[in-house]
Amino acid sequence: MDYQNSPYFHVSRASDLTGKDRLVYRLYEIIPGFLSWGTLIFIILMSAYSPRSAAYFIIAFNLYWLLKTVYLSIHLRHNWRRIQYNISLDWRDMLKNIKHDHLLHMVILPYYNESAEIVERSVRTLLDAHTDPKKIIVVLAAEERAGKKALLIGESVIEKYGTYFAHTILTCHPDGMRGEIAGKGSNISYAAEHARIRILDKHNIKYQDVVVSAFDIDTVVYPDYFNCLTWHFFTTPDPLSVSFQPVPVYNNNIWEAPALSRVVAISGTFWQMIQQERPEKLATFSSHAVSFQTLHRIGYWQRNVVSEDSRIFWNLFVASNGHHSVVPLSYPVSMDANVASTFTQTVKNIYKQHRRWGWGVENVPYLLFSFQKNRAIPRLKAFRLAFAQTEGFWSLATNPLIIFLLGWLPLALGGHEFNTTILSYNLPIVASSLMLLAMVGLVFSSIISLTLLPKMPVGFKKRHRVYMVTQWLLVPFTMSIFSAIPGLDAQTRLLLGKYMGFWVTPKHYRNKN
Amino acid sequence: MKPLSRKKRLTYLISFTLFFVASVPALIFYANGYEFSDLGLIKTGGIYITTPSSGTHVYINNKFYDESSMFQKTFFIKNLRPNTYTISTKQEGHQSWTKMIAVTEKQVSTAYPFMLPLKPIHTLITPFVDISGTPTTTRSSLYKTNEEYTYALSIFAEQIATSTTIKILRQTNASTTSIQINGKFFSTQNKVSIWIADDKVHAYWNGQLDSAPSYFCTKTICVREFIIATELKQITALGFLPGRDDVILLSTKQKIYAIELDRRMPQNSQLIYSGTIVDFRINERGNIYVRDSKKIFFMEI
Repeated sequence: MDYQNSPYFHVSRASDLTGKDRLVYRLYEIIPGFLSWGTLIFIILMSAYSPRSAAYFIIAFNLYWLLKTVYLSIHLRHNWRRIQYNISLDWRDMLKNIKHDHLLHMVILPYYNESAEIVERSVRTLLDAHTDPKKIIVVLAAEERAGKKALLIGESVIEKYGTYFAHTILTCHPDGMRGEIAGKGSNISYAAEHARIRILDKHNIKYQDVVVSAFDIDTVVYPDYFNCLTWHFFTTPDPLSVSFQPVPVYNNNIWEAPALSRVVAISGTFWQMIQQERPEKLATFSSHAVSFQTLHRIGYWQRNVVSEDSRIFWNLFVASNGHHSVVPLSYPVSMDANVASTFTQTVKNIYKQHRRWGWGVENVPYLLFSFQKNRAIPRLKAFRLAFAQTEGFWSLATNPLIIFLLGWLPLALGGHEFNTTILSYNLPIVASSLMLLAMVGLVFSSIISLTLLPKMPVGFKKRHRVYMVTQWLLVPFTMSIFSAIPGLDAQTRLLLGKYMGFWVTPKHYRNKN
Repeated sequence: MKPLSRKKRLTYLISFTLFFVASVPALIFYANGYEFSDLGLIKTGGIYITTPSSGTHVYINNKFYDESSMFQKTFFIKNLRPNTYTISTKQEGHQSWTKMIAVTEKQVSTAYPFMLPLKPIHTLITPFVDISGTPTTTRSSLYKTNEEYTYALSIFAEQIATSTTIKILRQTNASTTSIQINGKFFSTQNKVSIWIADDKVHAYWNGQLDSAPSYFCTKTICVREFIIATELKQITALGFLPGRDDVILLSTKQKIYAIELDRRMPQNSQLIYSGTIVDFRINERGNIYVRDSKKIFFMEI
């Protein structure tokens, strides 16, 4: 089935459809929020009306959480070793016997109202990569609604660095285009199409010889990113049927960021590292790469969704009838941790950013609907992926709340009769013992995080290194407030049909004199 | 370096799943008080003790168990076979406390020892103070009336009510019902009311019966009212020990006692004052004033 030409391919919400399809899609939009809220409400009711059963559930859940933590830690540790290994490899040497000179890298850098400093940094650091810059095409993607200033910034950066690269263009995504929402997806799709016309077609560059890296404007590549990507491109059996996913680390300003921001950022990195060891469950996230030919075939990123980074994977997956996957690079790209001018603003920004990431739940109805419509996708594969994605969002929104907040509910709501049982006295002891064991993993996390840190900048005291360890005590707090609650927030909005728009994470760049 | 192989991941997953399936029932049995012994799987119970202060020594069947500290004032003694245990608490400079507590399977019995000082401090409140504020019993032009003495006199002068109406919550719903009680020295703390009628001390639970404190219950039966067993006669005053709703202060003509409402044997009572003609009052701030003949004291417990 040529699903990409179907009217469902670029659906973003139920209202894009009509009739029974709209009803079905709306139902799928309700499912994630229903499951999450249903779980939480069920636990509350069970604690009040059957506290014994609730106590059994909480004990079992705490054990499940402990074992899951250990299981995922194994993945984390393995990926950590792979990253260390990949960083240490001489990728140029790895490419010696691979014909790759014909391959070009197109780096799309969308920006909105970021400062000239940030835009320039992203372009300048491309020159630091161990790759001939003449193999790199730079596409600066500005937004019309950002005004003339954004264009001037782009022009100035191109004037300064443009001659170093194979080609450099500046695009300006018009505001208010029909069928689009303001955001990264619409901008980079516009930019990619312009790059195709103004560079690829103009210079007779074959689409299959171009790999597109869709970055954020704060993305800074590690030295061998392009070499690593090139190697994976040529050693993958079918490079046109895969996307490539590096590991996002938030090291650009990690030393300057407050502890809360650091813990949240590194936790995000850890999750991506874990997912890199489970590629069959991996979807693209944030900065990712894919062949231009593959992109062009499906019309680039979806222009009417917020989470275009993961949606592109699902588009490619359903368009290929389930024959598209993600190749984890286990190689980092660095981005900014969330930092604002004040702590309060930083906290707000972290929440909003995670709510936007939690809005990735908008892909759940999309893939459920697509699996239903596109019967060419193998059923077992479809079921597994649907289950993995749904379970993933359910876990995100509920598990930390069950562990850290709801575990004590049977004691609070169970009544006098339950509170005289030995079960009620043992429940907090058993639950907290299991949680404590799970928290031991934080020691391991803090060690890994130290190894991923960049060198401590001049002017920072030794105690800042100690803070990098002690900050992990914030995990119970960050998991609930900045992971579960924003996730639940996003799912609730989807459940109620209050669709979210794109929110640009403000980049705050301190002048490091 | 390759990623973790699917086979390895599946092995881990299956291992953890099997461990989970095997461990959950074991954990639940443990949490429910089951224990392995020579006789097989037995059901145990527990005792939960809340000590009043740090430095309290806790004994079970006359064997030292533990000592409370600043960070730990409660003890949960679990894995106790159904039986009756003698729990004692001792602290230097304080009266000791003992109780026989029955432990039933899968249930936790609670105990709230109280241990008052062997010699509670009582400070005389003089009628007058000198110009520097030093108390004195002598009146002269250089002295003024002690306001605290005036206040203490006033609370002793308050009429002792002989009947009152107390409100209770019906057991089956949340509506409030009022009942008329005839007696004196009414006092209510945390929904527990006490009063004297016919020279007997009554205790009454005002709230939902299924949430009554343990001393209103025997095994699984809870009662709304009971009479505190005491041989003391001619009770001149009654009130709750400040900070407690399970210990009352009670005075006869010459002595003041603290008696617990917990009827499990032995019912502890501790002498806190002995005098000539004794009376006491407790104000709304929990301060205890003792009158002995014509003298008034402020008591610290």
